[in-house]
Amino acid sequence: MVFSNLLFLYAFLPLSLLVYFFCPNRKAQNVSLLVFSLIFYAWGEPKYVLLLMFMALVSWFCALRVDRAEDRKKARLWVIAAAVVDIGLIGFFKYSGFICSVFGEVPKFIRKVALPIGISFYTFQLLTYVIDIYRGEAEAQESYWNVLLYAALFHQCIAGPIVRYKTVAQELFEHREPELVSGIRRFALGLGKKALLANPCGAIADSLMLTAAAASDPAALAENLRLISSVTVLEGWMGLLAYALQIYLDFSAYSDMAIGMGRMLGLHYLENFNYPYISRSVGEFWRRWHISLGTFFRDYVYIPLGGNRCSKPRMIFNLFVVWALAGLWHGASWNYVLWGLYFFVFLMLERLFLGKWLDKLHILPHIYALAVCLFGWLIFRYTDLRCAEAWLRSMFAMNGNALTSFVAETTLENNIFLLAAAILCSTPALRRIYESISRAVQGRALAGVWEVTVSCVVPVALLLLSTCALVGDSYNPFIYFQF
Amino acid sequence: MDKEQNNSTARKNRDKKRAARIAAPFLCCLFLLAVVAFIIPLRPTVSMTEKRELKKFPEFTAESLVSGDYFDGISTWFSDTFPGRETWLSVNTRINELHGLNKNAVSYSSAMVAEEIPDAPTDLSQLEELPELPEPSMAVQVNKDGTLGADVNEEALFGNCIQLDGAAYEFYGFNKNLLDYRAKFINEFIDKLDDPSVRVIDFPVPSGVGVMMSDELLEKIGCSDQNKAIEYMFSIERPEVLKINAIPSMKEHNYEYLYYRTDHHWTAVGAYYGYKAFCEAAGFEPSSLEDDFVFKDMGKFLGTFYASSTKPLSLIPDDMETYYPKENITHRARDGQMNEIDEELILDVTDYNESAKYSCFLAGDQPMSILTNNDLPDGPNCIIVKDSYGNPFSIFLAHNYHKVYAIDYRKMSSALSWYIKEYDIDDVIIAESMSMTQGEDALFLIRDMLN
Repeated sequence: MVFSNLLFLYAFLPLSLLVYFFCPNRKAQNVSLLVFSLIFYAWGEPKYVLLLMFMALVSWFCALRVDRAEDRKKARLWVIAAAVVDIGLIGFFKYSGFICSVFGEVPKFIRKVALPIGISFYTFQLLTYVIDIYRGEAEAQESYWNVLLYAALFHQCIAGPIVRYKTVAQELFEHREPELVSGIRRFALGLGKKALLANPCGAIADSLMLTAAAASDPAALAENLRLISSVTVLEGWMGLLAYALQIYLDFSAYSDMAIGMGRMLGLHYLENFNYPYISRSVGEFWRRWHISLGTFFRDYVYIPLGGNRCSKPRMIFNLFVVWALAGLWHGASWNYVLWGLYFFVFLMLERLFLGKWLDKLHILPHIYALAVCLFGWLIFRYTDLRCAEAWLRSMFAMNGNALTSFVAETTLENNIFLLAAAILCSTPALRRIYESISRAVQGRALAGVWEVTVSCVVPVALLLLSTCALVGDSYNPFIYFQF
Repeated sequence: MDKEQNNSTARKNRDKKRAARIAAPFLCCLFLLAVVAFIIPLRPTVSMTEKRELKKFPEFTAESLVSGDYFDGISTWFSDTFPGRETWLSVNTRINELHGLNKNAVSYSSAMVAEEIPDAPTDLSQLEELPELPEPSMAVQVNKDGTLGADVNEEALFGNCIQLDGAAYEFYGFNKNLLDYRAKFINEFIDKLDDPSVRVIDFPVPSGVGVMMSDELLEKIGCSDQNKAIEYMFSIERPEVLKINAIPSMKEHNYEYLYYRTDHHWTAVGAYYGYKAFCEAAGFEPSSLEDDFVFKDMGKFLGTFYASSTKPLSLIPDDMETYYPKENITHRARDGQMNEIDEELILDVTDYNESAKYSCFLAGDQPMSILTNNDLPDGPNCIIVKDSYGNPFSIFLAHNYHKVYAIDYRKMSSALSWYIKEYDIDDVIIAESMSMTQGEDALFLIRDMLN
């Protein structure tokens, strides 16, 4: 199940809210949350819900041992045990094919291994649980079911944000106050962003850039390269732009919906996106994009490795490892590793000297950061890098391809407002407008009207419009679903 | 202290109530639609605009449960048959119109390929060098009643739809290989027939781009020139074949309403001008549209492009204008097992669903339609091998023949030679639409008939 799906919206969500709010106390509410979360996960993966439960079991057990260990050394062993199991399992289910391909042939049984949904997210969450206990930042849960609830909670189990245990522990298990209104607003915003902006942008990207399925088919490579080489320059840029917009709007919408649903119940997850496309540097981009992943790698990989409190060569090595892993996290394929290392190069450059130049300039840093990200998406999209290269060449008319065509111009004309709206929603412009109007009407008669508009009219309108878009919508992919 | 606590609790309660009031509309909307979604009888089973059956609730099996297919099926069923589907979709179409300017549109389901049309060869021997055609990977199935089960329809082709200024057209791309084989089969048929008293007439029916579009526009959108394509086709057919190219004479009238804007077919008037070109070449005196027919306007028509276009609201709707012959012409429809029923020549579709009105001509696509002109008992007989373009055309044709046997090659597969002898046929007209000549399926079906 995905959030932007009619079954979720009009069966699962209302039922889960109804049952939840009829529960007399927090314990009962948590039980209902757990049951619904397991149903949610099992709906998409009937077999692998057991894997999730097993990993939570291991983490629960190890965390208790860590808490009760006599000394740091023994505690550390238990952390390593948990890490080995968790990473071993995700390594098997997600990376076994990739690892085998590095050494040679991929055996048949490995090729049959399927990727359980959300494994990259809940594995990391369980790792933060055990490690936070070890670091003394939280206390181990006596109840297995509570650990399972933390890992399986349907808000963020499948697609993030990666919520650290200490962030939600208190609200999940001790006390929380529901914030229905702000939760509804956030959820509706995310839903609208996904159904009305991300999906149509994705349709444009797929129609121009080949669908992911077609592009990753090795047998079709020659045909794909031929198609890509004949793409007009206009389509080259339009397709990549649409893809960049889709991937941002899609992923941030999902986080919005997760945060919104959490807030409805009184659970506060940290922000996962902060308008990454207005960044002035690659460093800033990664402080604004998929924040929970960036901070995970910072706090659980980079800093333990030494961070930047060591020799320069060592720091460079640390960064290299972190970015290779971060790239690899996104997918079991070399292009993802390359994508991570692509950012590593720019981050290095910025740290060494580029950053100082960027600080002094005004517009150029934005263009620089956008360009780096945009071309980065090319590496991200095509598992076969020859396709990425061909696309890049088409963007600059280096394939003997035409500048434009009737079809290309028509596509642009017919989507110009959509792309403009998508770009607008990738900037904080609307938020600034909302904030200034809110400030202006404060304490005045219009304040009531404004609040009703923003909290009642807009969410209902977004819900209904999104429903229109989702009915019979064959195009409703979720990019980060392969995680 | 107590008073402060009371005040703050009271304020908290007020805030809670206020929050509940503000949250109420969204939650009410959500729950209301959730309830509606569970009222099973409200769920549609068929989509008229998309012309398909909607997904059914999946059958329960242990394997499908474990693999996740069962739940996936339920999700799909839930979305596909959501109550009020047509309304939601039509609002969505309006939302999509806001995406851009929508003066023109292109929607394609397959790559639009137009080969260069070679200059007409003078030597027919190149056809003998054609290798044997491999059988298609998907065998054409024959149903119990003799009709064909193949999914051979024009939908796959008119998925490539180009929209300019309120009218839509199906893309046409020249494919030399398919046309070479087509000519080969027609040429071989002459020998198989071995009867010089029977005329074999090749009358390819042009589509909208061939007649209505200027050369500059054709080049801009990258379509092949249908006139040139037809000339190539004729240049590789034997002299015994009577070759009729309707495009030049139809083009002289292309300021008139010859093709629908929202549908890939020609209008009755378009079919009439095609018929006139036919008559001129075949040596017949055509009927007169003004004198020999009764006009009837059957109202708004929104055809196939309306459903397949991405910007249908920019299309100017059509009118289903029909011409009832004043002559005494009767129509019997026959299925694959020789069962016959009387049918209307032109069905009155004024009250039909707007998307279904083209079926007025010959009451839709019958496997075989037998038109009898009772006012011409001594007239010649003809077989016309046709697809849906042939429906209005056959009605005009009946003016000059006593019996017109209109066989839909997509619905009926039988060798023509039996019919030719049995029914004393004088003319065999191959009226395949240029649209269908782009597809491999039609090629095999026509080949099977030319026996």
